[in-house]
Amino acid sequence: MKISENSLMTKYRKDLSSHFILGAAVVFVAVFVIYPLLRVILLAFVPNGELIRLANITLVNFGKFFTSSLYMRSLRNSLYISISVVFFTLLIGIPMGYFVARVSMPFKRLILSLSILPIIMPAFVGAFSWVIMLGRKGALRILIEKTGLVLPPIYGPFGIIFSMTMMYYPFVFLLSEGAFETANPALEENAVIMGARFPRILRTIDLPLILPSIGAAAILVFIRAIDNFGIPAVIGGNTYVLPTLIYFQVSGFWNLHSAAAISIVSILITISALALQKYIVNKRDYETISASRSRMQLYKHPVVKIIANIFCWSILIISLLPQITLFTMSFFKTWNGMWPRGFTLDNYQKIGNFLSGPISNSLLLATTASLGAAVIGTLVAYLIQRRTVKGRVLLDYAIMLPFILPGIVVAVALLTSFSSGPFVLRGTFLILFISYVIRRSPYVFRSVTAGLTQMDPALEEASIISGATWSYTFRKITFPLIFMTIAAGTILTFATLLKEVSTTILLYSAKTRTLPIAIYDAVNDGNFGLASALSTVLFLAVLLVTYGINRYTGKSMAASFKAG
Amino acid sequence: MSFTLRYDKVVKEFQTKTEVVTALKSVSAEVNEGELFCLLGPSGCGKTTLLRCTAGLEQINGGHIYYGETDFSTIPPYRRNLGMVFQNYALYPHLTIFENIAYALRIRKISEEEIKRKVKDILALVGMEELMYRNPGELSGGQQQRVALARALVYNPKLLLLDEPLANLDAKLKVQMRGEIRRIQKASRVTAVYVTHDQQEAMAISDRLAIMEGGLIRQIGTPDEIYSNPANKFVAGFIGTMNFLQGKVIESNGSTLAIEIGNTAKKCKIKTGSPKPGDEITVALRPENMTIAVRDDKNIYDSCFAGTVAVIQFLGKYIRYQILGENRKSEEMVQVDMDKRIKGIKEGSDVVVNFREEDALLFFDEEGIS
Repeated sequence: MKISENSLMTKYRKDLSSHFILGAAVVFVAVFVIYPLLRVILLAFVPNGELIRLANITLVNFGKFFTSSLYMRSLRNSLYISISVVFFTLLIGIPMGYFVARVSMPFKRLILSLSILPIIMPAFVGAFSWVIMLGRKGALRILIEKTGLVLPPIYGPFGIIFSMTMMYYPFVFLLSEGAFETANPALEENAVIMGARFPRILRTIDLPLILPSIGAAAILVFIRAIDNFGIPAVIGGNTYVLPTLIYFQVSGFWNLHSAAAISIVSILITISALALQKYIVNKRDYETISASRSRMQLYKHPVVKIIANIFCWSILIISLLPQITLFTMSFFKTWNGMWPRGFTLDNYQKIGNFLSGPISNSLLLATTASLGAAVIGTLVAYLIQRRTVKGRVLLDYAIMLPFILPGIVVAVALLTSFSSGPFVLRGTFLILFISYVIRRSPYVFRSVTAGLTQMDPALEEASIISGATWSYTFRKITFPLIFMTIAAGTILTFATLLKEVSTTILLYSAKTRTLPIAIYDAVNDGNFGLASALSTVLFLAVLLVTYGINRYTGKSMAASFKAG
Repeated sequence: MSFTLRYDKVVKEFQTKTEVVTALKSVSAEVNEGELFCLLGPSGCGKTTLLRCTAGLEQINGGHIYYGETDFSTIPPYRRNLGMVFQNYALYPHLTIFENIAYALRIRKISEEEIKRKVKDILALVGMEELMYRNPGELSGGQQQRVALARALVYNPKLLLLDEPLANLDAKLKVQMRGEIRRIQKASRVTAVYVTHDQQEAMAISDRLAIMEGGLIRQIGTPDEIYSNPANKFVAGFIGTMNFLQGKVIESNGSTLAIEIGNTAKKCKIKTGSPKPGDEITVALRPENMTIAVRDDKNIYDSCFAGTVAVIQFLGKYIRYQILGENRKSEEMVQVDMDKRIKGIKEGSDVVVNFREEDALLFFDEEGIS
């Protein structure tokens, strides 16, 4: 007893590995998130080409929002488009969610699974397929205009709002469906017993109950809409929005100072939107809705069923038209008018030319960066959940911040910090890797945080007490127990990185071109057949990975997107 | 007296967002080798904090914790060589029962044969040999409890810490398991510190116990000492049921005290303090040490308490009478336990209560704090 006690005493030195590893994660966040963002803020207040000095401080970069009509229009368009998209996605998503949750209808799982397909494509790909369908000689436009209806042109605000709505409504649909389904039926039954009719129940019980979910969905859609670069870039025409304006400033004039100022305005809008959502949802004090065991009675009235089915399937079919269009287009040379012309396999044969360049770049970057995000996200989540460190709150904000930052703003931030001076990373794989890691760490971070909060700290304490060091405990207890949540977050990250455009667009070079950028270029060159074939390949790859995660985690496809 | 674990003026403070909370004010105690020592107190009294400080899961802000000659305060938890049983057992859900128990042995780089032998031995001790290759999720609460105990003991720790180990078991299993824990602790001859808020459990299981309140130890003693001789009003009220009556000192001769209580005068022995005539005094009485009688013109002038029976409860071996005093305040209700029902006393009857002088416990008001 005495001897073994002594041997134990000498076996363990002071355990510094935890400080070292967790410290490295903190340094990464500081250097690649906090420092670049500070640079953005500083550059925004200095005229283009000048050094960051107290004497040079100016508001001239922001002044353009009052003097330049391009700036004013961009800001107005961004707000007008994003708000419209939120409005229309709510208009489509909430009824669809209600129908699927509350009406007795077949193929509910299928509807839920199909509904996520629009989300797993790069946004601009959807837009460009709408060009094929609704462009001047688009098949769908011809059909619609035969009925005497007049459609506004696809290039411009209508096209942007329409494409975004069809792309983002699944967030509203999935979140509100979930909320409608888990709401406690007793509340609604009670209202019925008290004599309330359907419209009153909907207004006074159901909608208020799912307000937090709707609020979350609305903010998710708003952030995506205002961040989106691809759709306005492809079909915006003269309709500039903030992300395309930033792109214009950087790639056209290399004016990082103006880009920084526009970025700040964009961030402020997002933050105000978040604050507004928090205010609306928090104003009402809710009991947490616990998932009730008893299920809501489903509506079985035939008229209700017919309306619900027609509504849901029409929306689904319209929102899946891009996939159908792309798949068809990929086998033809042109598609002007009702039918595509010139059947060919050329488009797929040309993909071979992209294997060594964009396709392998995309795979390499998505793989390494999702692993990087896994490491950073996991360590920071662990640090915040398990250690009482000073500045925890700051770290929490720092890691989550890129989640609400437009991708193009992240790109600007990295360019301001690493395109001159001692660390020139511009045009390298490394800068893309870093941008991907900081943008996607929040995915893993949130997933792992959820895993850690569900894990009793006593498990780790028990390990420490029985003689294990920190690193041994982490390897043998913590890591195995949170592995599933890390893996889920990482694979989701991998899937979203395969289709990343808005950050890449400012950071890629000829050497580091990715698959989505190659598609983007093909679209801009008017090479629709090739673009469609590449998109189809990308779409199938992302679909496969997404399907893989869900088989692996046992969740439904829809469930993992509600979280992400 | 030989002791293994010694707390010397231990102080623990927690920094919350707004203020510093002192969880342990200055705790001193000694735990003897091989004994089962309970820390008992209401929630928030600091008992779990003291246990976690012993384990090293919390750092103390002042004082020392000694194990024999070693100052524990400077040793990290993984080197203290102690075993701990957590409230929710904290069994590793991804490991089998065997691997759960072997965990600490593997850290100590023990040969595989030795590990097998030790795990089997300890599982035999807790009576769980057959379930070695199950997962924790497949076990009942009581079985998980045994495994947690086995896991904490398998590497022969010098000290076993138990944090409310029975809190999640149902009442019947609780009684069974507390016997088991004591049997296993005695068999493995480990010194144990046992935290609980359940006084029955503490009284039943411990060799000695410490009653804690507000970050302080209010009394240390054997269960018997603490029940029959509580050191202060808090301990008297916390352990078992106690009636508190207010009285006044009439006369004092150093060792005996004449007191006036209700309508009667009593002579009681004093153990501490030097009360003067006129001082307020609290008399504490166990329900079983009081008597009850129907009120009449004579006994009213020789009773310590008079009132109306509010509730009569049948509690198995005895009958409990709850009596409301004249001013009908429920917090001043007196409880009297009698072996049988008293003829002529119903709910609503007017009664008087009395006690024997040797059963009274006296507390002076300033004593409540010491």
